[in-house]
Amino acid sequence: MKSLPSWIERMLKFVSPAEFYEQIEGDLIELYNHEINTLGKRKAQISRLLKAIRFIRPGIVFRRRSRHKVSNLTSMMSHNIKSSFRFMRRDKLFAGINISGLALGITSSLLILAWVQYEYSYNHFIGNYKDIYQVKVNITYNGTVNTENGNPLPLYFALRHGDSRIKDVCFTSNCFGHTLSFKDKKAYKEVLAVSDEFLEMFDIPLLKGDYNSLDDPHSIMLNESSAKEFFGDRDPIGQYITYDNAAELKVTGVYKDVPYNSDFWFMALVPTSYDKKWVTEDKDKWDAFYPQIYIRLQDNSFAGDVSASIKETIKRHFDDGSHPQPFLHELERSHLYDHFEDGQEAGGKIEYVQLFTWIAILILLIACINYINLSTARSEKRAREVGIRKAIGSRRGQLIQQFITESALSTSMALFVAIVAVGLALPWYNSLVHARLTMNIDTPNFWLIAFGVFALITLASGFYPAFYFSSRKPIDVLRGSSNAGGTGGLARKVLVTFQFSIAIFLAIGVIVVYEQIEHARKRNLGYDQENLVAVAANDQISKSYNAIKDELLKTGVVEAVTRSNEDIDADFFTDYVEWPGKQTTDKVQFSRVLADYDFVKTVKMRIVAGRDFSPLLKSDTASILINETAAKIIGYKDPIGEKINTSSGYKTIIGITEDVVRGSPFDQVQPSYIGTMGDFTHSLTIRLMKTNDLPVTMAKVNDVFKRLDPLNPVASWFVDENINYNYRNINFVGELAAIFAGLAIFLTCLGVVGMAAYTAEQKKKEIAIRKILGANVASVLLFLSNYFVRTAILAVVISSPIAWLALDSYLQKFYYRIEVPWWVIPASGFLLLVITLLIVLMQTFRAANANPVVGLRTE
Amino acid sequence: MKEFLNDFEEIVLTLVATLGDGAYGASINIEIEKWLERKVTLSALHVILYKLEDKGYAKSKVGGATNERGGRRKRIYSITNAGVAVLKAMKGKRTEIWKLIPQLNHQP
Repeated sequence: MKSLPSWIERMLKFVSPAEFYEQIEGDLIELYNHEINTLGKRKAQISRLLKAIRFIRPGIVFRRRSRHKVSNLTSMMSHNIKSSFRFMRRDKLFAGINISGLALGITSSLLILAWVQYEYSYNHFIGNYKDIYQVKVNITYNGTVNTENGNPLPLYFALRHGDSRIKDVCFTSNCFGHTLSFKDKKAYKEVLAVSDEFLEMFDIPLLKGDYNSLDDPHSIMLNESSAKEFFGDRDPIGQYITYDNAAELKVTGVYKDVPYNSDFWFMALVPTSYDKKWVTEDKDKWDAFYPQIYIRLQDNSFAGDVSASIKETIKRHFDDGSHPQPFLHELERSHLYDHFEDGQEAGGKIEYVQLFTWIAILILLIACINYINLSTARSEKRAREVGIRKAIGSRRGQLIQQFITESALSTSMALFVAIVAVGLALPWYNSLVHARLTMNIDTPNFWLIAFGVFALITLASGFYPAFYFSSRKPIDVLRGSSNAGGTGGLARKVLVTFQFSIAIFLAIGVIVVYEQIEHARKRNLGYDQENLVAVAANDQISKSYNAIKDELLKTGVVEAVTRSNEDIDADFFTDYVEWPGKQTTDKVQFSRVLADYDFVKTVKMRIVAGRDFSPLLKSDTASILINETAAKIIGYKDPIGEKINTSSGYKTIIGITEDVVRGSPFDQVQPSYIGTMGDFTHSLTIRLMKTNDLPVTMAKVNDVFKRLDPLNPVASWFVDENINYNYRNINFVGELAAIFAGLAIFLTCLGVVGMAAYTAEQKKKEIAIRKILGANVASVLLFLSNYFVRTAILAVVISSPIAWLALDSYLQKFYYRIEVPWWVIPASGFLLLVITLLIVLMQTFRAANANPVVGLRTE
Repeated sequence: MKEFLNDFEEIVLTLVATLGDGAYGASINIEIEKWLERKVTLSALHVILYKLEDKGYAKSKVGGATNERGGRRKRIYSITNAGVAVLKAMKGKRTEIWKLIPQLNHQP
């Protein structure tokens, strides 16, 4: 036999490397001829077939095909880089648009991803954050389930001894400000009281001391910066800190500062055993929900099982059916999944994190689409180059390499610009997102991410142009037949429409979010928050309150002073209330402010009916004011003079106040009442006279406190600033979204600039001929902008219904909200159209205005 | 010793050395089947020959078409110095270890 069956030959030719093919064939023939003597024809044929098929194996198929490429690689690379540079230099506008577009895209997505990563890294300073569960409680009142962090203290003792599936339990107080002092140094520090197990369980990074350092009830641990503040370079261990001007606590340890990406804010730790009164009093109180309880499970236990048994434990201590339902929640999720509805996890910050991840992806996509569109739009300019390269023997793979090199070069320049830009923008960005993001150029992670972005963008933006260019037949391009309406044109149209749709969607989104935020910002809070100062109270201030009030009023700059158990702009304390004729059997909860005289006068609330408390009437200690919402819930025709039962006994309603927004401006106003002052003063509220010289006024106010409370630093703040701060904290998301949506729209415009210029360039001849045949400038402009206008309108049609639905469901989340305004879709569509037209006209005006001779003479 | 060959590679390389100018795919295939009485997959043999060449233990040149193989040229392999060195090293090591087997030392 002289040759193999032809299909085997073809198969072999396909799988084997060119330089080995002949020998493989020869060997097969030779072996066949050898075997035919020993095995006979039939068996030899089968054996030959099997032998041939077995050449389909990785060692043969994937063998590097041609080895001379290797030796040529470096010079090819340098050639590719050189020609890419030349091409960029020849076409500076487009290189500029390409690189700046990519740079802008990369910068914004890096900034977003940095924030996303920061949000994900919350609480990671806790060594064991992955193993710890927080006990949360679902409590039902007014018919709705609230999920809270406070637990009854006896639950801790029950869990500590009761369950073999639990490895550790600890409990902590809430973080509160306390005065710490050492000699003449004084400072307010957030202090957390923790039980014995806390240090080990949370694996707090200790610098001095050990896990047993808080065993002594009179010990305190400081964070690094507080230790430095009090003791400088001296060893803090064994020194005594005065706690709230009363007790001397021995410093037994120092731990690393809690980083900013943490929900725990303690600057000092004290043992819970220090405040014996609280622990002994609450030890058996199952209905006081205060401490936070954390649990670590044994390795083979499941959170669900333990949750169920905790529920059983707590049930035994409640008679009625509506007992609180505790459950375990992973500490790891506590930051991002912080919103609960009906006792179930219902998103939270994670929604924003995901939203921004999507925005980052969209922005990158838009930047890549710009690059793709601009590159393929230039195809006419490059077609001849590709044709000649192919004609002189360039392989497709080499052309692809060249175009990928080009995009790699643009991307690396853009990446460099972006890294510099991110570095410059970080301080501003940090203040915007309230974070401490840093760029760590010296870490391998940074370079890993940079390389990842580089590779991703290079491929995403270079892949399609590379295949598009290299696929063209040299004969066509050299002959000069145009490909403008071909497949590249269609893909480009789809991409541009997609881009426009995203831009419209984002524009509509930004307008609606902005309107919603403004709507809430302009909400009438029900009191006058301007010129209102709050001062944190301590024991001394509480004791000498009346003297302080007198002195303040004497300064002449103060209109009114009051004190209360919480700030006017906070909404923490609540109380169960009952009244005769209550319709529902559910517990009803009112929020509660316990305030001294002049509260209504100081914050400037309005009384709708009845009267304010009067110092002249002794009976007013048993009176309350309720707000309109509460009056509605109680349902009496005339509630004034009626009695309702609160946690401190029956109280007579003496007046109804207008609703006051105390929590988030997006939320519903809660029913609430104002009662008379109890033992606890949280803060003083001071109404200043209208003044043009705030520093002098504040100096006078501070002076009073310095005289009457010389031991403590004055801690005061403006209520409106605090509201704005909290408000910004809630709403930086809106700001951020607006900024990045703006960037995305800008990027789209940048793409339009390039496309318009190229359309004009490409249609030079057509324009010239039209003008010769009598077209005027206006009709040429119309003809040139036709395509863009159609695309913009199509984009509006595609994205406005989607935007409408998405935004409507977004707004449903707020109680105090706007409807999607009707004008937003035509307005943003119109805006996009105008911007597009402006850009197109600017770019094409020269082409339309040019002398037709110039356009025709170029050949 | 930085790199050992596996047994099949070793046999192939040894045969390349033995067969001299007659060392090419089909002949090595036939020789292995003759000496070791075991079936050889031709494609596997090819892959090993390429690998040996990649590693520098063998080199090849093209030539010597015969009628028997339909006029297709052979790829004739020859062993390189590195190939000889690795074969020697393997044999040496094996003998060293062989000597450590106690029973063999005590045999008369």
